[in-house]
Amino acid sequence: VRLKIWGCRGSVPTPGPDTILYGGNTSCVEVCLDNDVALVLDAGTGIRRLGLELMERGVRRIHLCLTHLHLDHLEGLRFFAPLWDEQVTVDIWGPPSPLLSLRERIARSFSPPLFPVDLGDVPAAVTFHDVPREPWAIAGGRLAADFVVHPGPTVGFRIETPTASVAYLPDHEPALAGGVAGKTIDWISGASLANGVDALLHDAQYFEDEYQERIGWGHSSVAAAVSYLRAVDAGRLLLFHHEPRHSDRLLDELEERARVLAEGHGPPPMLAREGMVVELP
Amino acid sequence: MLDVLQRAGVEVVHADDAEAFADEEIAKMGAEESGPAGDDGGGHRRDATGRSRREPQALRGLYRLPASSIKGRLDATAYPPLVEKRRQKHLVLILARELASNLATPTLIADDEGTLIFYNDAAADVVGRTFAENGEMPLDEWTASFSPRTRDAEELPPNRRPARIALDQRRAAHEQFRITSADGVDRTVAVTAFPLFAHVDEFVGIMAIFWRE
Repeated sequence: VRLKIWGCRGSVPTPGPDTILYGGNTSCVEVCLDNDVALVLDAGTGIRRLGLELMERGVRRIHLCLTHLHLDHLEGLRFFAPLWDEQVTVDIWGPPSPLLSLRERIARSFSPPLFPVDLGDVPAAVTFHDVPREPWAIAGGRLAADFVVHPGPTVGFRIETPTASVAYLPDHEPALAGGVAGKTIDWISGASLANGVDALLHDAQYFEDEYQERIGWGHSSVAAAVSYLRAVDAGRLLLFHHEPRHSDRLLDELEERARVLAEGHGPPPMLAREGMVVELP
Repeated sequence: MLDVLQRAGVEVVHADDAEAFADEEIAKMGAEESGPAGDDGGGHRRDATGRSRREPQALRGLYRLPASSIKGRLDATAYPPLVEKRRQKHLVLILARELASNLATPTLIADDEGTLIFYNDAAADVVGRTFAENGEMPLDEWTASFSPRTRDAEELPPNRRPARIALDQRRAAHEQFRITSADGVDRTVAVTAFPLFAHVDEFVGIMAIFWRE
């Protein structure tokens, strides 16, 4: 499995001189399982550049898995080049909602006054799916989705191949469900996805003191992310969904904080960085 | 120089080259330490004292997780089941427990199979036993242990028990009846139970609130 980070910023794109190293594009991760089929996690602004590359590679079959539909995970979709090619097939997977279908919810962002082109006029063959309740297969990998603690219907994903596993929980506040301390794993949000994975991409938007002012916003502190790592006994932690106000310098400090907190638990945590490629065996 | 490359958008993507390049750069930077140095796998190099020191950022383009970092490796020859979904309670139940544990109102939760999975401390006061002492068990069995009965001292059949109604008929129900608590005290309690739906077609369990009359 090869992961490429195309965007790891949280909440809103943050281009500028202070975010050069870790990047300002919002959530988008490519999971490379098959040369002909692309598996993409979330459609933040990072997906724009990915789309251009997929077109260059000649990829015509794409699966896009959306954790939820907050704008920072969706706003790149309209500028995803493969959508504008009638030879491309895109399957979009996302969380179900009791109110509107996935297509209806996404169509809101493809309509005036937000966007001049209606979703129905997109040239690519696009199919929308609620994530299944049971695991399913894509491009030689197997996926599972489950709801996690975050405002509105939100899922995380687990991707497995015969040799490696990764969990993607970019927006997650398990502390709001009582945290992980003293809990057995069956009572921990997202644990069915993250338990024992080789690599865990997890929300770590805040320093601990910042989190105290933002409880209930749907995101985790770096300490909560490390506690979660330990609770689910995952391997490498990739800190994700960087706070827009955090400069590269502050993010370096956040990573150091994570490393101190994770001392003794396997490989040290790393900050996700735009352009980073992680290869799992 | 690396910083210049980085800011120009040049990305180092070959791990072997990056390692050699890093060594050269560190030597140029006049690294103070001597003796063995190594990479901890996270873009930090360890000096002779074991302290971690950050590598030039441009070298952090490609990471390969060392085999030693892989936990719970899967057997490639036999593709095991992906995720045992039942190992984790449904998120609605996790959130319901968190709500219940913060309530002063006696509250219990059962899953969609009718297993009692939690009741709070306020409920423990009524039934005379904490959930930690009790543990998970079939809700019917737990309820029966309190000899639920009508005010006329007739046994309250399961089909009149609010929690059972919520489980079977997936609707709210209310009843008042008498029990004998685990501490041997006879009490009159009122119980209101209601189903928990994660989605219109996804029933995940029930919640019941009760109090002494």
